[in-house]
Amino acid sequence: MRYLRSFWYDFIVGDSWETAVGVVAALGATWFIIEHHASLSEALGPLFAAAIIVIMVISLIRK
Amino acid sequence: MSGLFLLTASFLASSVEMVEALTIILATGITRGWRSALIGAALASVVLALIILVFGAALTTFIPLDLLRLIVGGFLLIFGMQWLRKSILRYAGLKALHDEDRIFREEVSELSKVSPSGTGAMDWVGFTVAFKGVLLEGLEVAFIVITFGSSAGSEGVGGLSGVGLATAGAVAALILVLIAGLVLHRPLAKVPENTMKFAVGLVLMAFGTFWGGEGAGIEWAWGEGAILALLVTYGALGWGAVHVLRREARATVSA
Repeated sequence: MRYLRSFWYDFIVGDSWETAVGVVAALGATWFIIEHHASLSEALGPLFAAAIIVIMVISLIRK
Repeated sequence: MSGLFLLTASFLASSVEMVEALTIILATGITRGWRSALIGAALASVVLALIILVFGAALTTFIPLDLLRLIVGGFLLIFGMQWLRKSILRYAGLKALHDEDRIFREEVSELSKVSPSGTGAMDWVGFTVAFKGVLLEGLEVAFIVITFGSSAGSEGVGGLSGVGLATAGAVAALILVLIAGLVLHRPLAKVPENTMKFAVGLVLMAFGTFWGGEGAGIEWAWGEGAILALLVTYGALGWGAVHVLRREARATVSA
């Protein structure tokens, strides 16, 4: 069980917790906005991808 | 298109992990005996196959596709970003490259210090190390096969689709690495692990963004064509990041 716990920790948090937190926040925010403004469902695609890029850049800067 | 990507990503990811598992099996086999090492590795492979079978079936049967894609997309994104980030840092020289020869020597040295345990041809230390090594390296592969396969939809290659197609990619990698290991009888240090990790990281990120976005309600303007656009964008970002960080690392050294 210790190894499984270590696997999941390494898998989700790894050496960059910003990635996991950022992805969950970006997905949650996208879902929330589309739930309340369905007309934005197409426009949010590029913004969501841009958010992922920002998260990646932050995790690289904080290396 | 997604069927071919699924097969390739599963094959590449599995190859990387199998190369690492092979190093452990070789070190265990040489120091503790082949019987214990191979039984441990075989049993771990059976456990991994059962995990894929049970969780693969459960996910696709009980969870609605939109919710599945939201959850799986999130996991693939996190996983893909971790792999891409590591390979970027390794390319830039900010993180040590995975050295199978060094790991092999360390494993052999560690295992040689432990006195034999068990009766007859069975050595329990060898069995445990091989079992644990293959299981832990294989868990990442199992995760990719289950998540990627269960969300990939019905598009297939050679009559296979979804989890079955992803499993085929993983099994092909396992067979290829095993044959190479048996022929060479030493760790596969020349396999371009970092390049493969970079490529798999990109594919996982692109599909994670696409599926995660779809699960959250996004309607992608170009349909599945958006996956290609995401791949190219993330690839350019990764390539650019390697160059910027490499230059930064050189400047730090020469300062």
